Amino acid sequence: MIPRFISQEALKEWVEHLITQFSVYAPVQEKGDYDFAKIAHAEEIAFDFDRTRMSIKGFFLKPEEKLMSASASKGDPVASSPDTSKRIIFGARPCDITALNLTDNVFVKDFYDPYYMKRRQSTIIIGIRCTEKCRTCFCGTMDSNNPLTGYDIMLTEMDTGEILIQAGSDNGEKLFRGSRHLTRQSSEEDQSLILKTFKKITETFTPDIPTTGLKAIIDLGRTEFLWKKYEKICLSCGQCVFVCPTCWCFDVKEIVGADETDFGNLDKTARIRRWASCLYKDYHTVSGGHIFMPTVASRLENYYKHKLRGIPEKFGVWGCVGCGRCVSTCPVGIDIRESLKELTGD
Amino acid sequence: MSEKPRVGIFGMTSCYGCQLEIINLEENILRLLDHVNISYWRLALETPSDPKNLDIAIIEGSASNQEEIEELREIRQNSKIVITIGACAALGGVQGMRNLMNNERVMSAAYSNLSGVRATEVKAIHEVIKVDYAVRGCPINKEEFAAAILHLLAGTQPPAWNMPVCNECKIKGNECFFERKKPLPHYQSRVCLGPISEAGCGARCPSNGMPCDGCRGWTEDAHVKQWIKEGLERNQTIEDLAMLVHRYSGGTKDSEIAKE
Ligand code: SF4
Ligand code: SF4
Ligand code: SF4
Ligand code: SF4
Repeated sequence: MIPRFISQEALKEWVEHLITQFSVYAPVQEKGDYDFAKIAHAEEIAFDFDRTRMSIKGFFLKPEEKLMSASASKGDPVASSPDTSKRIIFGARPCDITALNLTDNVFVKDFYDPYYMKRRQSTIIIGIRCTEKCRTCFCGTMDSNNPLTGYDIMLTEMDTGEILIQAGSDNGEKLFRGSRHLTRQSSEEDQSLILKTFKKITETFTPDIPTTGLKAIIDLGRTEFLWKKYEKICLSCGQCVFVCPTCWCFDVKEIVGADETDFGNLDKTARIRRWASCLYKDYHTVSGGHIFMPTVASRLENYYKHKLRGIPEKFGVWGCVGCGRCVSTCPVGIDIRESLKELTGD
Repeated sequence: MSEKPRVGIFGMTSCYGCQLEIINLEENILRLLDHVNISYWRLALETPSDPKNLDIAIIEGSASNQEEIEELREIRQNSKIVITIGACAALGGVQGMRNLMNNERVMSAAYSNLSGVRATEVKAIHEVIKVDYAVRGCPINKEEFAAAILHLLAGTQPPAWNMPVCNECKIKGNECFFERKKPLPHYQSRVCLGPISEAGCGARCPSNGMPCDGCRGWTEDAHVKQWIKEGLERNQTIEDLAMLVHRYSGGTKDSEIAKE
């Protein structure tokens, strides 16, 4: 599709139209922050949002879900089937889309996770490009502000307030098919406007935290000082992991008899999956009581190295997308941007 | 199993709120009764009858006088498995703060005439007898309690996630009370005990607009000193912070922080 323009008013009209066909989730203002919620009207959308408190990962890797149930005596496993009715995430930020692309590597390519995959397939993603930095942004540094795939539509607000629509998939194109009257073709005169806006965006998101040499520094082991420093303040609360769009670890447990519809049936078991955090000691504890990473320092080292060394080596992209959610949420003020500067001696 | 396991439910010094939570299981309690035979329960049975030969004893409350200590020893002798319920039983509970304060002043503030008072030092149940399993919380999470009983009946370990409340709080998608930069309404304390408190309650308090109070006690891996350090940076006094971390746990031996 050749990019087209839509006015802010017409965009809302289009969203209203989408709501009649799909469940639409969009950023709303709630409890003093922005969060994705199911909306009934376009008015509910907080268009001035910078980024949401939680990322969109919870739409795909549920914070908590029942994977299957079984009978203790007969076996008879029954996998849960995730809700696959079509839904739209409207207003995904570029960093979150980049994170989702990365997560696909783990849940789709190496090991196929049907729960994640089914939700991914039934979700249409409409991105809104950032034109300004969010409160904790360093996505320019982490090269995540311009995902090339992973969205169905990307919206970019021009200097004039009008919005440029780019389709990223056939599905995205189809979404606009019936609503072309709401949009207008871009003309020759628009070219300079488009260039100007994108130039400004590029300037805004120029990398500003040093990362060159990080691999060598980590491989040389010149990082110990930082973990020792953090160990004195980190609470091991795990929050940085739960808010992070690229943290995907989980824990699985079997529950007996607590089925809501058949409570007390001791023959029924359910397998529950729930977000877990590598900052927890329990996460590194195995049968027999051995703990692979007993200290907070070793766990923080693992967290950082996974994102800054392990994932780049395996997938060719940073394992942190620079959203800064961990910065906002950390109760003791551990700041990955400062960590990067300290590690690279800036 | 030819005969249903015999269960006794006992109350020591406490508000009986945890026992009420068991009753609050409503129709699910009937499903539990399909599997067990409650032979002793002062709160709910017309004739509490027989506290002997129990398969499972469920104990609420802390040990706060000599009679209770003796009763507990008897219960232990009469039961195969002992489960405690609630913060009082696991940690001493709110009354455990008495241990950390000037006992005489606390007593004379509470009673005008001290002659009949039998109170001894407050003790968590495991400080008196061997406890096999504890369902924590003030009050207990009734679903967690039911799950623990069902697991025992099925002959498996009750599920434990061993994580701080922050895990469940983030799973619920709550607003965090502990973000550094966020201004909070004046009536809210600027600290939340979630990072060092054991999960299992479903982050009950933060989900209802209050910071965690730590009623389930600390996690196995609680970084209490770091938490206090952070609290001090937020202009809380050391006395207030010490009281917060020990609001429920004065009845256990690891209540040193307050004394320090
Ligand atoms: S590590 Fe922090 S800044 Fe990086 S993606 Fe995760 S939450 Fe965002
Ligand atoms: S959020 Fe901060 S205090 Fe909590 S585990 Fe992460 S780094 Fe540690
Ligand atoms: S338990 Fe407290 S500190 Fe932890 S996430 Fe919830 S509100 Fe924040
Ligand atoms: S949130 Fe904290 S105080 Fe509230 S019930 Fe849970 S452990 Fe207890």
